[in-house]
Amino acid sequence: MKERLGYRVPFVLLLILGIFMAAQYYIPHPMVQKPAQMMIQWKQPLNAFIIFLALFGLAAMHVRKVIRKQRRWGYSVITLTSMALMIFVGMVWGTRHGTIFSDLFKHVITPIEATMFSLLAFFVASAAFRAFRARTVGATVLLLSAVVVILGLIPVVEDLCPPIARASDFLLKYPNTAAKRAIMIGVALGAISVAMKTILGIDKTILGRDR
Amino acid sequence: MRWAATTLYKIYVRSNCQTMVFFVLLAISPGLSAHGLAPAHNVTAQDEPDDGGGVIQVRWEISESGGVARYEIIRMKGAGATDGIVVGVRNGAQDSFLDEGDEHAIENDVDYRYTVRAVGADGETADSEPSAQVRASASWLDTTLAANMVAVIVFAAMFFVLVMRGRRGKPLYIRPIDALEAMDDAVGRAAEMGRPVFYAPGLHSVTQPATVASIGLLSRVAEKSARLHTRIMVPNYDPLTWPVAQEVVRQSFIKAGRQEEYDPDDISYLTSRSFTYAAAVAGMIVREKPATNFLFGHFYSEFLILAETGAATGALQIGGTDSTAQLPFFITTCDKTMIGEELFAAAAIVGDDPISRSTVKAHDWFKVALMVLIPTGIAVGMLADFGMLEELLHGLGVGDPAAAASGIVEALRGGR
Repeated sequence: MKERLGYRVPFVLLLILGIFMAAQYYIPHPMVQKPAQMMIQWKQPLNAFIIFLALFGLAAMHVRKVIRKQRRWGYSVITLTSMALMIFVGMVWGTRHGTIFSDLFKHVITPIEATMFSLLAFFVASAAFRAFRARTVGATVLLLSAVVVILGLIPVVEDLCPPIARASDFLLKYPNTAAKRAIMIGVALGAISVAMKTILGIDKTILGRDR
Repeated sequence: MRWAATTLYKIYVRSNCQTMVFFVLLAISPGLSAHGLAPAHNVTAQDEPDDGGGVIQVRWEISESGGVARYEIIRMKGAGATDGIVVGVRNGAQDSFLDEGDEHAIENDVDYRYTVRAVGADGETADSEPSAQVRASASWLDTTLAANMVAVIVFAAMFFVLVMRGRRGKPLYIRPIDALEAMDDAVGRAAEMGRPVFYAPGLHSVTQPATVASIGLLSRVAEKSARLHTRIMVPNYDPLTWPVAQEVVRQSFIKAGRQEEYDPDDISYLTSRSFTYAAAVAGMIVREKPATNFLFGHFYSEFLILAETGAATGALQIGGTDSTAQLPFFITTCDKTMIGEELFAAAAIVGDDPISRSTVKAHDWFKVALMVLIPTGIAVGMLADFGMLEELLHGLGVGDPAAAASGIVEALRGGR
């Protein structure tokens, strides 16, 4: 009984609030918009709490790894030390511009992320190399289209060979846009369907429950 | 005074006659404009429709005399009020103002009148006649979204009809999805190789449809992994998705009767910064060398780092996303891909639940309706552009073909 109630209460709330939030999109009246905005604002403290919970979980996992001396537990020590350091400097000297926290972020995290981002250039090249091998008719069409689009986007080609630039423009404007829109329509219908299944309780995965 | 006279004399001496004429005109210009500045006229004010109230649109015809530097829009509260507050300023060429009550809020259902004050370059003013009374009011329906609402209602109707059919157990044919069919074999491959299965649920929160669909597929992968005694690793980017993923994997292990093999540390939260997440996950893939990578959900540019790292380690990769920007990379790097809507369809049919399966049919029905409506709309639009729609409506015996044609074109453009 208790377990059934534990699942039913969230679903009843989900049903009521789901229908309300869908309806508020079409109703601009303040009697509807004010509570809707208030509910959207509730997300902020909830998010803060969830991040705290997630960080606690992450720290607990690494502490367990260190205590049990699991494989590569040294990485966990580095993670825990970094977490502790950032929390300490952030709490003692604040997080505003010019503080140690801000400097650590700017001079450690940002370059590391920029390095990861720059790797994309090489990954794009290796992925393109694999994709553009003309093994089938479809792959050959893809390869030819890619060559036309790449050439068409080079400024000098526009002057030297205007038909290639026009063909590139055509491929991007028409077949590409049409295919993208078709996918987007499908995605939108799928998203509405998932939302309706969740609101009506047909799909229970959002509460971590098997269907 | 003495200084001004001296200056004028110096200018007279040093410059030509035109300069003197200019200064003379400048000196007498206030006297000229005092008799010439005409006010704006035909001031109208009306409530802005389809909003939550508190907004009034004011229009006027600009002063016929010209020489207006700016218009000040004055709002007066109450029927008989003569004093008001300046709520906006427009330049001399503008003839409308949207009063949104930025500094002085407009109360709904209260009478207001507006006057437009023309202000000349010298500061002289001329007030217009006040507008008729106007009240701001809140709407209960945004009619600009009517087309959207009708589409959602039609889709919802199809959804309910098909769910009812699903409840009756009527079999529905759904085209097999290659990537979904390959999922069980992919987990089997990991079991045979004695390596883990890796599952990334995307970068969106569990409040987003793609992540909900991904979590639905996770339950199937986790259950299969548990049955085959295979380790499953689910690194999370979103802190809200993490506990849901943990619970889904735990439930799946319980369902498979392998609760003792469930390790909560394998379903971990990593970070909420995309490239840091990519670095951490790429590291995990290189160290653990999973046999199969499942990448389902919404991803951004970091996806290519994850997928290319997976491909480099020789993992079988199955992916699906609703992100059109990342789809080319999915198709390039994954062995099997669910394109856009297939991700949602796969999540619906993965559980073999007839009600859930029937919802996929609603997509198909609605897509058929769209396939008919879009070319029809294009054809009608073209007829209207060539002026043939009116003739056609006239030929069909429609009473006022011009009005009907304009209404159809307006409806096609998604207007009221």
